[in-house]
Amino acid sequence: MYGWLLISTYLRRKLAPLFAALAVTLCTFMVVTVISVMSGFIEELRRSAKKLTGDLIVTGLGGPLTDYEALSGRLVALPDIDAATPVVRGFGLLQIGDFAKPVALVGVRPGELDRVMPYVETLLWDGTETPRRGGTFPPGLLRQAGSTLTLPDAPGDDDPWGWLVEQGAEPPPAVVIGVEVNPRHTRDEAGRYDPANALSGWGVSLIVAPPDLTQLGERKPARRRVVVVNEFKSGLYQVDEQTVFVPFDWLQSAVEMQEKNFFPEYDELGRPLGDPVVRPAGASELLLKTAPGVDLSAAQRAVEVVCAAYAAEAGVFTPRVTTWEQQHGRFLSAVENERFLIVMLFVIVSGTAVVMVASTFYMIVLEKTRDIGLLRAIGASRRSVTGMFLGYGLAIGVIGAGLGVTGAVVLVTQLNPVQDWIAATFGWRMWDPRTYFFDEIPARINAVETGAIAAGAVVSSVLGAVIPAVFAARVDPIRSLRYE
Amino acid sequence: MSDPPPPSADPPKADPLKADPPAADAASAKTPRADSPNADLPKSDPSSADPPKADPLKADPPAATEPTGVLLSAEGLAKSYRVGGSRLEVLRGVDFELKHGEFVAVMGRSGSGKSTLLHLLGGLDRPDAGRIVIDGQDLAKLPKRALDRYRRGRVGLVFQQHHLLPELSALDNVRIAGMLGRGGVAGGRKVVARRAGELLASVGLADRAGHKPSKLSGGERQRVAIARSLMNKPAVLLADEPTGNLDAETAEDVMKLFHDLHANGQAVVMVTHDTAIAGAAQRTITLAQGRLAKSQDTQSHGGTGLLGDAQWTDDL
Repeated sequence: MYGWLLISTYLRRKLAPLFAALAVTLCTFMVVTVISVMSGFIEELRRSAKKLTGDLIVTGLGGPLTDYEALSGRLVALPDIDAATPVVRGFGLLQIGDFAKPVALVGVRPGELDRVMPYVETLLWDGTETPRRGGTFPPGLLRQAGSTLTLPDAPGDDDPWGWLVEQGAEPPPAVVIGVEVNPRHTRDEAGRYDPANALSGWGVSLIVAPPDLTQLGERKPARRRVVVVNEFKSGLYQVDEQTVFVPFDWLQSAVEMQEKNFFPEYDELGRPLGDPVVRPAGASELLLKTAPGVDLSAAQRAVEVVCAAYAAEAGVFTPRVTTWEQQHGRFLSAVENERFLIVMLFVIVSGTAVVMVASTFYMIVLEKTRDIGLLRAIGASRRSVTGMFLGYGLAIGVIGAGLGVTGAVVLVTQLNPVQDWIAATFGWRMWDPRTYFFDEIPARINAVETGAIAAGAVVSSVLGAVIPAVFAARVDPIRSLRYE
Repeated sequence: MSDPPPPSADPPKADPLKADPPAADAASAKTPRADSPNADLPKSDPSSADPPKADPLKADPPAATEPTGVLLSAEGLAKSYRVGGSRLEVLRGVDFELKHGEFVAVMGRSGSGKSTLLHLLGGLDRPDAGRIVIDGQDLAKLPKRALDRYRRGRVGLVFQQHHLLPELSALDNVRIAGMLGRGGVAGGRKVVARRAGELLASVGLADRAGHKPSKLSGGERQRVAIARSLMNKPAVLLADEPTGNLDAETAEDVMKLFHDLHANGQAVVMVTHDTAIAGAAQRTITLAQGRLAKSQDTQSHGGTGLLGDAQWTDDL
């Protein structure tokens, strides 16, 4: 009981414990802020990574998935699976004027794709904001074109694709490119792209390298004129800087995955042997969307069972089933590891708070040896003296952690306005969207993590008080009073 | 005491002890009545106007008249300390007995073992040999916690220096003794606070309750320390040269306080160098070279010790 009387008195009258509390405050503030920013960064990355990935991905092993329509039907029949769509993957070279860029081609069926992932949400341009040579697109046209990957008829004479269509015998494929595929784009200080630099409505060349099934080098890369109808931004740079969505059927043909007759054997001169056989159409992957609230691992196991049965029936390797997290596992785990390392570094730095509390309390014990001796002399037990100093540490920890968490929550929730103010006042921006790809600092306060940090700060503070408390309890009352 | 007395000057005019008859006659002092010397002490405390309240200075158990029954006894106490490479024997087989309500002065030259004896009696230290029995228990055999409880509740300690906690007010300095844990004064926080206020009033410091020690004079600080020592109604008050740092007039006031305490039945053991101060006690024991050299009844007991002549009877 007497301990709190002294603690409250010392807290009010002594500067040293306030410095210790300040150390705890700063450490708590620092760790909560850093973890919140890192957590926000990772959460944003995960959200971006998931945006253009199915919840589950079924990938053919040793070749494309054949009979994927039937497999898709069987998987959608599972209660855990809501939707499925096949995709074809390939590689190509996008040529925009003199600029060429290797790209990852993803052949999709846009209508199906949007049931599996929020594809349309990622489309950047609507049509009103994108100037085109000679005018603007009608509102909604580009979004419509991007969501269907087709070249729509424009009303009236203002047919944006007419000049391209006229050049070829058939309408060119419509494609949607990742916003960072476009070399013309730069972002302003707010992280925005200039619509004037969008390639929407532009015809570009796409060179597709089909796999050489005969292994005789007879397949030549195919060069096609395509029309960029929109650009997308998932938020994951690795996706946005290399991915081009193209129509499924077109890419399937371009990479030789369509249904086709072929000769299974050739002689040494490259002449086919025997009768041709029919090779069914194939897809690289099936992207699946799980039903709401379904446990991803359980759904993965259910899909694996169906795939194993499918493989047994078709006489092919069992397709691999991965979750979206596994798909981006290497990248996400690297960032998670970075977060862990940074947090550990800050926790180690926060160890200074423990030392600070310990040294402060040790000084108090030295200064208050006579008082402690007096208390011991008039009957305070060792345990109560120890308890008093631990309580002192607890009080400092609670005050410091409380202030630290409060400060961190205020800063994190106002981080972007604070940054804007700093940028406007001092001309310095700590989070440059041109560098970090996210437009804003993606900080998120996690109540559980914040609570754990606050608890850790309090425990650290109490730990810092342990050794001084033990010293205090060992004070010999006779000696301390005699030599005063 | 290094702090100079503040201008508020000591002793305070409102000191209720001043209201005592200037020279209590020897008979009344030798046979103190529980209600006589301090009957008017509570008047200085406004809160003590409530009729049923007991005099906070009264010892618990009720006031004794002539010392009766042994409160505390020590047999063959020996204590030595290691100083440098050699062992210094401070006490060498001291026998001592304190009766209920008795006032004993301990005298002797520096290094004779007076303070060490007091520390052993107060449970601050343990003897190397011998035993100290109080309430039928040997202090030397008490576990640490029980010894803490003994110091908390059965003895009151007053030192030469006041040893008040500088950050706390006079009231809190008194109050804290009642907040140290079990074994102290019974009751909750309010009871402790009320008793602390009453004790401060009884030593004439009701109006200084909120003052820090730095704002009190040397005598006032020592009176606060005495009030603190009484907080848990100790069976015996152990005072180690309580007037050693005070001027003669202030020492007189403090000794009056001890005298009143004793008159109310409080057993007191006081270490002093001063034969005049020792005159306030009923009995004086003298230590020499760690042994009990003399034990004398003080014939003229009844004064403060500073004013009266003491006559000594050698018991040994």
